[in-house]
Amino acid sequence: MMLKKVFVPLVAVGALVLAGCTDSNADNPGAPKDDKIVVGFSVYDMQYEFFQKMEKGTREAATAKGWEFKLHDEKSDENEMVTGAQALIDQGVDVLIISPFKPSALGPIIAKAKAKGVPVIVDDIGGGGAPYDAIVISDNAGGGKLAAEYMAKQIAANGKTSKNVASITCEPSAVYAARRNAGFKEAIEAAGFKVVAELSGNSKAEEGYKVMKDIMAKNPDVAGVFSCNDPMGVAAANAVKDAGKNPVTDIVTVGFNADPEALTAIKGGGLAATVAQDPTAMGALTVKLAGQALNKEAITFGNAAEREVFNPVLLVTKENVATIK
Amino acid sequence: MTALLRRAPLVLPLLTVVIVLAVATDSFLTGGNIENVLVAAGIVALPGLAMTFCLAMGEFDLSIGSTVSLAGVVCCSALIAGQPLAVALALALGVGAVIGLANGLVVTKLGVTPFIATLATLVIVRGVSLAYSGGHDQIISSAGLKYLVGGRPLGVPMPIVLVVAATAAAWWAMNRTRFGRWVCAIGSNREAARVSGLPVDRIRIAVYVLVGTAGGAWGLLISSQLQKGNGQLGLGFELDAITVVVIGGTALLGGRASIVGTVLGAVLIETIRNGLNLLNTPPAYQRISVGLLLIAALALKGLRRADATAIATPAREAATS
Amino acid sequence: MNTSLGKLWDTWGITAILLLLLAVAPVVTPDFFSLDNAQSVLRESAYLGIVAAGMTFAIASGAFDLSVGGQLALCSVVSLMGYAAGGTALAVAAALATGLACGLVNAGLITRLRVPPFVATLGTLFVFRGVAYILTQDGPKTLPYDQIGSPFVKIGGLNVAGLPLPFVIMLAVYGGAWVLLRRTATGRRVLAYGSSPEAARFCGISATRLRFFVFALVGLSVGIAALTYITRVWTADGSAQDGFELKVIAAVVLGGTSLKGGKGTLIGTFSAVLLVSVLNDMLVSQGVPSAYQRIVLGGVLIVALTIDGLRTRFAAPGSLRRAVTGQGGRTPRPGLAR
Repeated sequence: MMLKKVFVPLVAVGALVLAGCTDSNADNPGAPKDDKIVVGFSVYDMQYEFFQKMEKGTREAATAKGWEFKLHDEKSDENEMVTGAQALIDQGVDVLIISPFKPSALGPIIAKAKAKGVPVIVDDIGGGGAPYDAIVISDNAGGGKLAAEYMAKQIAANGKTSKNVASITCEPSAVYAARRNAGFKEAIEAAGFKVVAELSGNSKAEEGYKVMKDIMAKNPDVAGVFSCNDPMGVAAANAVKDAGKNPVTDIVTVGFNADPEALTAIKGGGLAATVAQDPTAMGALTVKLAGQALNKEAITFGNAAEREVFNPVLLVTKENVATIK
Repeated sequence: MTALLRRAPLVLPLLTVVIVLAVATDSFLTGGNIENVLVAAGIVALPGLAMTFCLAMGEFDLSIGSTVSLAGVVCCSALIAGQPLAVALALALGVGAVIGLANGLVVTKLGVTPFIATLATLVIVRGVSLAYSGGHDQIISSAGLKYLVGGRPLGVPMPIVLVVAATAAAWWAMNRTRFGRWVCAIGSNREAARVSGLPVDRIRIAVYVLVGTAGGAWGLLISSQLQKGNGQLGLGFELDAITVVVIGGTALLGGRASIVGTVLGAVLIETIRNGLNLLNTPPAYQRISVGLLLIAALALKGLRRADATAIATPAREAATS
Repeated sequence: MNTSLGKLWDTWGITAILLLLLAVAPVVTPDFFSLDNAQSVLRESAYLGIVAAGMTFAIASGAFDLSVGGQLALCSVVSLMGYAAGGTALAVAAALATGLACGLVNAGLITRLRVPPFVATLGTLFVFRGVAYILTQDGPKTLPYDQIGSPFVKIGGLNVAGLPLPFVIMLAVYGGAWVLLRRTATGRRVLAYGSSPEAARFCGISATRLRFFVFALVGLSVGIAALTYITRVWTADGSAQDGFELKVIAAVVLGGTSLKGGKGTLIGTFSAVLLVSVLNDMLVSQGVPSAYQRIVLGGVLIVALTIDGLRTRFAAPGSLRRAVTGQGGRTPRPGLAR
C-alpha cells in the first residue's frame, strides 16, 4: 500500500515530463530543409583560448555562407559531449561539426546522426574509429617532430654537449597530446639525444612548474625540454628562469599550441619555441567540408583511409613570432 | 625519541621515505632538490595551516582551490591595469577574505552545512574567475610579485621564510591563545561551547575569513611562480590542502589540531611526489601511491588507537567514523 | 512551523520545486517537452541518479563515499574489457562484480583498519582511478562502432513505452531502494546508526556489518550506473567523470538527506537529480556560457540548502545536538580520554 503512495507520484513526475511532449519530428517534418541551413558545432571546452578561436573560425565561416549557427559546449565532459551533441541532432541541424572531448565517445553521436542522415565533420582531437564523414586534424606527431628538430639545432647552437632532454606530458587520457610526445621522442632520439625524464604535468601549469624543478634537480645537465601544451611549457620556462637559467640558451624550452601566453613569452625571450596550430583556419575548413558533405561533393583527403584532411602546423620561434596572430 | 614520536608521529614515515629515496636515487639529497621539496611543501603548508583551524573546528572549506584562481586573476589583472604591486596584493588577499566572509556568513547565519556551502562557493567562485578573466590568461611580468617565491632574504627562499613565520604564528594562536582554545572547544562540542557563552558564530566566521585569506595568499604564490592568472589554476587544490592537514594528524571531527603535523604532512607529501618524479614513475602509479599513503597514514593511527584503548567506550569507534 | 507541514516539506519540498521548474521550462525553452529532449534529459540523469540512491544510504548512515567517481571509471573500464572478452553477459557481470568489490574494499578499510570513511574513500578514489588508468594505458576502452546492434549497446539506447531504458532502470533501483530503506529492518538499522552510532550499538546493531552493507550497496549501485553510463558514451578510461563524487553528494543533500545522518529521503534524492538535470538542460539550451552556468548551479545549491537550514533551525533545535561535519556521531573528546 505504502509502495503505491510513493510510486504513483514518482511515476507521475516521469509521466508529467513526457505527457506534454510533442514529437518534434512529427510537428515539423524536415523543417530546416525549407529555409536556412543549420549547422551545429559541439566544442571541446570554451574555457580554452584554442577552442575559442576554433569556435570563432567556425562561426564566421558558417555565417558567411548564410547558415544558422548553433553552439554546444562540452565543458570537458564526455557525458555532456554525448548528451549535447545528440541534442543538436534532435534539434534538427543539417550538419554537425564536433571537436570531441573524448574521440572514443563519438560512436553514439554518429550512430544517431546516421539514423537522421546528418553528416558529421570532426574538428581535431581524433576520430575514435567511428564512421564520420571527414576529420580535420592538426598534424600532432609532425608538430612534435618540428619541435625536436628545432631543439636539436638550438642545443647545438647553444654549444651544449649534453645529449639529455626531457618531456612533460599531458594527462594519460589525452590521446592527441600523446601523439605530440611520440613524434617528439622519435625525432629527438633519431637525432642522437636521450629522453631522460618523461613526466606528466596533467596539462596543468602548476604541475608543469613543479615537474620541471624535479627534472632539473635530477638532471642538472638537461639541455632541452618539450611540453605537450603551452600552459606547461611556459610554466616550465618560468621554472628554468627561477633556477637562474635561460629557457632559450641554457635549457631549450619548447611548448605546443601557440597560446597567447606562449607568443608573449617567445617575444620576450621567455620561451624558445612553440608549435602553432591554426584553430581559426581549422574551423573555417570544417565549414567548407560540411558544405561539400551536404552537397554530396567529393572531399579531397590527405589520408583517405581515415578520411583525414590535414591542417599544417608551424614552428614558432623569435624569428617568425611577429607574423602569428 | 618516543616522546618526539608521540608528539610528531609523522617523523618516522618521513625518515623512512627520506632514507629510501637517498638510497634509491643519487639526486634526492642534493641541496637544490631539498630546497625544491621544502619550497613546494611550504607553498602547500601555508594554506594548510589555516585549514588546520577549520578542521580543528570540525568543519571543511572546499572553496579554497577556486579562491586561488580568482585571487591570481584579480592580482594579475590589477597589475596589467597599471596598479602598484601593493594594491594588487591587497586586492587578492581582500578577495580571499571576502570569499571567506561569505562562506562564514552562509554557514553561520543561513545554517547551511559547511561541506555543501563551500562546495557551492567552489563552483560559483570558479565561475566568477572564468567570467572575470573571459577565459584568457592574464599574463604579467612582475619582478615584484616574483619576489614572493624567488626572493632570498638572507639566502633563504622566500616561501620558506613565509611558512616558518606563519607556522610560528599559527602555533602560538592555536596553543597559547584564547582563540585557539575556543576553536578546539567548538570542534569538540559546538553546543557546549555555545552554552558556555563562547561567541561561536564570530569565531567560525573568523576562521573562514582566515582560510579565505590564506587561499588568496596561495593564489599570489602560484601566480608569482607562473607569472599569470587564469580561471583554470588551482583545480583540485582544496583536496591538497585538506590532505596535508589530515595526514598531519588533525582530527577530522575537530577538537584536536596539530600545527607541526600539518607542516610535516606537507613535507611528507611533497617528498613522496618529488621522489616519484625522480624515479620516473608513470602518472597512473603516482595516483595510486598518493591514495595508498593516505590510507596507510590513517590506518596506522586507527590501529594504534584501537590498540591503546581497547577497553574504552564503545562510542570511540564513532569518532573514527 | 507546523510539524506535519514540515514533514511534508521534508519529503516533497524539492519535488515541488522540480514541478515548479517543469512548469516554467517550456516558457524558457520552447522545445523542452519535445519527446527527444525529455527523453534526453531522463536518459542523461540515470547514471548519476542510480549512484545517488546508493549514496543516500551512506549519508543516512552518517558517512560519505568519496570514491564513487573512481569506482565508476573502474567499473566502466572493466565492463568494457568484459564485453570485449565475452559479450553482454560478461560485461554486465563484470560491472556489478567490480562495483561490489570496490564497496567491500572500502568497508574493509573502514572497519578492519579503522580508517575514517572520509579518508578511506578519498584514498580509494585515487587508487580506483589509478587502477583504471593502468588498465587503459594503451588508450581508452571503447565499444567498437560495429557493435551498434548488440544487446549491450541497447541498454543505453532503448526506449520502453517511451521511457529511456536507463531511466526505467533508475526507477526500478529507486523502487528497490525505497523498500529497503523504509520497509526492512536493515533500512531502520541504517537510519538508527546514522542518528546515533552509540545508541545503535547498545541496541545490538553491529557497526561492522552495517558498514559492509552500506558500502557494498554503494558499490553495487555504481556497478549498475556504470552499465547505463558506458552504453551511452561507449568509452571509459581513468579520467571518466572527474568530480563525480561531489555531484552525487550534492544531489543527495539537495534532496533533503541530512549530512548529519539518521535521515534519508529517496524521493528527495530522485527529485534533486532530475532538478539539476532539468536546470542544466535549460541553461545549455539557452546558450548560457559555462562560466555563468557554474554560478547559477552553485547559487541554486545555496538557496535550496538555505531554505533547509532555516527550516531545521526553527523546527528542531535538538537536531543541532550533533554538529554539522556530516562525519557521524559527536563523541567524548579523544583529547580528554587520552
